[in-house]
Amino acid sequence: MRPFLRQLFLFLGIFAGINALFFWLIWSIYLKEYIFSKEKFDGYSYFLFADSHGLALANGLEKSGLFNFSSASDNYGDINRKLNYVLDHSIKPRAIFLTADDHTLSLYRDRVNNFDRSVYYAKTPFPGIENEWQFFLDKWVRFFIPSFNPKDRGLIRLWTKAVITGSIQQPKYLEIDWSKVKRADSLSLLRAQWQFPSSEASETQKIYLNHLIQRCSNADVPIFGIKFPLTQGYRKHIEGRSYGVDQLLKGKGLTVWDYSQLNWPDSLFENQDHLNASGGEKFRKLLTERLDSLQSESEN
Amino acid sequence: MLFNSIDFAWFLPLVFALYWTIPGQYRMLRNLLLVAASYVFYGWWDYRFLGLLFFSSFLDFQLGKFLDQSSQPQRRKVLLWVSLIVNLGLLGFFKYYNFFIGSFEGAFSFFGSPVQFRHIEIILPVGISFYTFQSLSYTIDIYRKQIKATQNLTEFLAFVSFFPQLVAGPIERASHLLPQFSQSKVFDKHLAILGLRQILWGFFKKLVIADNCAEHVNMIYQYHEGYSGSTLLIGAVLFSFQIYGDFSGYSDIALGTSRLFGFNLMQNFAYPYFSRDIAEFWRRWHISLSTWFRDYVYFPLGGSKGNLPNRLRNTLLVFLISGFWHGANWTFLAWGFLNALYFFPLLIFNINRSHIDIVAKGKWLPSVSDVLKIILTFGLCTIAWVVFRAPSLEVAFSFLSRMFSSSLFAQPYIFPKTLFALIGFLMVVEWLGRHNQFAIEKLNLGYSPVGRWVFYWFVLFLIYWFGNFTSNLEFIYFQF
Repeated sequence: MRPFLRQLFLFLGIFAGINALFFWLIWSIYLKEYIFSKEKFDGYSYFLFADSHGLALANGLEKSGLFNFSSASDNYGDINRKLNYVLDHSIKPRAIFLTADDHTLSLYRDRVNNFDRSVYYAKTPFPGIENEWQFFLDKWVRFFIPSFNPKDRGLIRLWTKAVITGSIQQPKYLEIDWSKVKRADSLSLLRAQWQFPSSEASETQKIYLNHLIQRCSNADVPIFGIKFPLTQGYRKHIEGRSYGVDQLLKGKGLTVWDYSQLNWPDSLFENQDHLNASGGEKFRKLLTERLDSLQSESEN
Repeated sequence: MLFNSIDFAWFLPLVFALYWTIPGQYRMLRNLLLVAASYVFYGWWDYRFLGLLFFSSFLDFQLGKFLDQSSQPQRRKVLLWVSLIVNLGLLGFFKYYNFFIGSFEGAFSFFGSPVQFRHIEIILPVGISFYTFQSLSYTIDIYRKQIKATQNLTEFLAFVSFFPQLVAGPIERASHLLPQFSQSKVFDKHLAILGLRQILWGFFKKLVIADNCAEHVNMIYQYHEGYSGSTLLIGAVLFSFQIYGDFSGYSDIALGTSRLFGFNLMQNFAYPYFSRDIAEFWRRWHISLSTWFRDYVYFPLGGSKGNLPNRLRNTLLVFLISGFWHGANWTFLAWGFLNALYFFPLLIFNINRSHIDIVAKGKWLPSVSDVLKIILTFGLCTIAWVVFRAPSLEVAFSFLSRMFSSSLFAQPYIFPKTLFALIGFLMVVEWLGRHNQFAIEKLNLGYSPVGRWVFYWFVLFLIYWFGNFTSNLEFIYFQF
């Protein structure tokens, strides 16, 4: 038995070593930007929870005391986990700002999300949605052992290909000359179809959202919904299509700041519904003013 | 529980550690552990059917004892019939009830007097066809006085439910597996290493070959009406490799896992795609089922004794029953019928046993004649697999007629080059290892441990890099 175990442990040792290497890689290219320790939140009074729409704001609202906790593809489940983490660590925000865009209850958010990363912030599974065993596997096995995580495998493959072909680039916001973009209208339509694949909203996302509202209500933390600016071309295609988060929030007596109807030029957008760096800067100014007045209101 | 799941990744080491921690003299305790582990393994899928598994096992255990004790032929016959009726009755109810009801309704409505029977939503217990046949062979063998009944319930429960082979075989015989539970096992390093090697190869076949083929095959079958003949041919060929990778991969993992516990299961696949005729193919494909049908259906029918029409009839019956065993669908019956048709010329010309030996034994390469025979046999099997895979006979006919249309020579719409390269790697390794129980049993890399480890890590790399982990596909044979 002993020689067999020796060989087995040698194999497991090598396997663990390779996994440590993979984890380091995944941490650098994927997790680092998503995972924050609680010390990072010190000194902030407001938190912004949004998907990719919140990214254009970058960290420019720090001076106003707002921590931008947005990540591309976050759904309300991910936001729930982040929010619980913040509240569980004795941080009581004055308010949180929550994405209330028309598409955020879309069914595709059940598939496209950051559950593999936000599990870091979770202490327990959502009752009735995930079971304990799956939660254990997600939090302790798939998160820390990249070999058991298909998404990590895909990232390592992409990274390796990029290294081999020398195509690794730092992400940056695109400044697009929209007059040169052909078929911009069809792109808007495609984008709208992607965001609104059905007339029905996701029941799962609704559960997450209600959970989130309840948690804030219990902690006495006000929620402000935010609807981000959109291109006019895109708005034309989503006319009348909304899964109604804004209405849901308003129905619970919460405030929604709606910027989706601003008629901003396409030059401020990276694509149909995402601001670019210039757009982000402009939007930041708008928010800063409102946030500052909110702060002075609450101080008075 | 699936072999290709994280659940199994902790389950196996845990059971392995517990099993070998129990001292060898506590054989009963070890067997009890195996029974408990097997029931957990099975219950992980659906605990409600554990009762059925226990009932079936317990009944055959008791019937076996009664059969052994009884010397009256009439009483023995009754006991055997009880076993047959209960086991096949349960199988028939869970697997074929709705099929027969639907077929009766179809027949009545065809003759102009439509009737409506009650359909029931029935969940098919995973592996019921496998453990029923295994358990049944026990009582039949006792009836035939080929084996003695065991007096140890734990050993018998372990024999029927042994988790590596519980849900998709190999279908073991009591004469082979049951005595292994009565032995005091001492850990055998070489057997365990062999087991791990076989598990590795099984995972390669399942995750890299079968599950990647499945992605293309599912798409091609779903939209077969829109694809050219050449694309359908690609789909058909990929399915041949999918089912081979899936089922033989499962068998490899099952055999390898058993070896970790000191058990030897029967070989279930012996390089079937290197067969030179359909008779050889059936001696090499799903061997445990083929031999089961040979011993319990074909021989009792008269086997190859008697005149040619009798032999043809027996062969046809065995293939039809074998097809039906796979599932309640006319496609499986048609698949069995097609295989019987392939078999007939060999019986008529009495050449069904002309390829008993390993192809190109002791040589590096096969002869041209062997290559042509292998290609022909593979082609026939691939056509039969189309019928097997299709959801209905209409789809099978439509698929085959489109495949053999003029668009067969068009540029295929789907041609996964990497996957074909991986299939090429599989076939080369299988060819080099075809003299052994499984392809990488004896790596022809001399005695250099470095060479062996490089090969292991290379296969692991292929699994990690190319394996399909996202679909979480079940093994095809779970549904049977």
